[in-house]
Amino acid sequence: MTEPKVLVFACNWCSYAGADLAGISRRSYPANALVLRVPCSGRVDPGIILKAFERGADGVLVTGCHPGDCHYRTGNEHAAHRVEMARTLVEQLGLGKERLRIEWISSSEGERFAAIVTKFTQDVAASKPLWEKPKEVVA
Amino acid sequence: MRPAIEILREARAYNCYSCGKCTAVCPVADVDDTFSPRRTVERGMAGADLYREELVWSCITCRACVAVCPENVDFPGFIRGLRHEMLAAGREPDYTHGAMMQTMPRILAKGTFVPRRYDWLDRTKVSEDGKVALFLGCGPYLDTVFGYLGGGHIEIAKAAIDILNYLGIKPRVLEGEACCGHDMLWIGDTETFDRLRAKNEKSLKDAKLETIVFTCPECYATLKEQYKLPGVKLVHLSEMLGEKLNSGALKLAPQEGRVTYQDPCRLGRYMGVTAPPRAVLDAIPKLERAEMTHAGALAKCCGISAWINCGALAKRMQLARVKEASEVAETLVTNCPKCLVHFKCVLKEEGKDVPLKVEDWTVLVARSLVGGGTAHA
Repeated sequence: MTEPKVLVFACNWCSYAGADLAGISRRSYPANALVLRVPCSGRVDPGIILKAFERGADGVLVTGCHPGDCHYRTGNEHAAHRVEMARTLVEQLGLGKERLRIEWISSSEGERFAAIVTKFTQDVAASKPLWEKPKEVVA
Repeated sequence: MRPAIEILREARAYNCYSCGKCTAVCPVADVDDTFSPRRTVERGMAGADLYREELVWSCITCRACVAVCPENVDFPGFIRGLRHEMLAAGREPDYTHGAMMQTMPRILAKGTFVPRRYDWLDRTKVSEDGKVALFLGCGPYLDTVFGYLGGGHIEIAKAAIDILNYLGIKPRVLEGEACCGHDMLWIGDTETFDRLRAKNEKSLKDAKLETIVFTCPECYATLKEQYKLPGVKLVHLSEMLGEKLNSGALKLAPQEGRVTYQDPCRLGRYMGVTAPPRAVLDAIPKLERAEMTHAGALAKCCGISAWINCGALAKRMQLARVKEASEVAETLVTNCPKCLVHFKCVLKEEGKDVPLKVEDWTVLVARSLVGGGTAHA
């Protein structure tokens, strides 16, 4: 088992609040996950996702409001389309489409947030590491 | 950053005598009064600072200026030199499509994984150890990204395989083929380009090939000009078919319609291949072919290169070109996957009133072969 780097895009209105609730209710999830708040999951385009992989991410998780709940009405629908396209690209590039996932998490689902992030991190950790890691310096 | 005058000297700009032919044919100068290759060279040789965003990133490196320059000044080469310095200093261009097109080659250059993009391939039509390879280029990625325009890039690859099969060749497709690096080279990211080149040179040499066939002009120009592949013959599919045509081995089925041919900058001006694609189109019975005012070495281009700077000016260039084409024909036939994307895009949006269709040359020719035509190798 290696320690993967997982980038989690969380929307300001639902899933970020969900992450917050996970913290408040003391539900722990792996420290490998870096949470990045975006105004809406619709902001996350395939360019950003690919850039995350290029900069060393082993997995990218896009999270947003449940269908019909988007603060901007259709942002999460756009996100779903874009992630679908990005998954095809990620597969074609040879990274493997299982490294990119989209999930809907509301602000009241702190437990669900922790569960999804934990599961995703485990799945990513189980597959071969993508990038050669720099050697650790031991003093 | 290196002084611009040094890069200018490498591009032989000291030979320039300011005749202004470059600016007269430049497609960017045509739509943007502030852009002028002639003035740029003049000011640069006088020591002016040329590291300005709008100048460095506006050029579309189409080499129209080189085609008419009496002194053979390499203006696009000079622009490439400036871009390298700009990028190294962190002054990046305005990438289109959220920089997706730049990030993909960078991922391919860094990673050790093998791309998985042959799910559409009929394995009975290709060979595992042949001496002739088909260089696929970024077709499958483009098909995914530009699905909303109708894609059509995998069709090009399928058509190319069908054509080669008709010629009695089972081509090889290489799993390990990485991006040719054309766009990285032309945005000035030479570090990524060198990595991609090293990767490709190794996998192509290991495959022990005799011939590599191309459908994409950019891959063709890049491998021919920048790679070192001794003993391997690089050929564009249109050149190959042109030869077969001359030897009388090609019989094409008739097709209705009136077409005009768009010379992609990398094929027409970089590689000088203008006659073979036309000859093959002319050999299709019943198909009428008209010539646009700007053709061959003076062909106007699709407005964007290397996925940077898609804006109002690019749209004006594209619109002018599709209008020019619609005056003489009903279908614009191009040989470049990127021309295809850009013209389809402008015809969907700004030019939706222009009565014109765009089609790829390989797909059109394959239709004439598969539709009852015969070829004897």
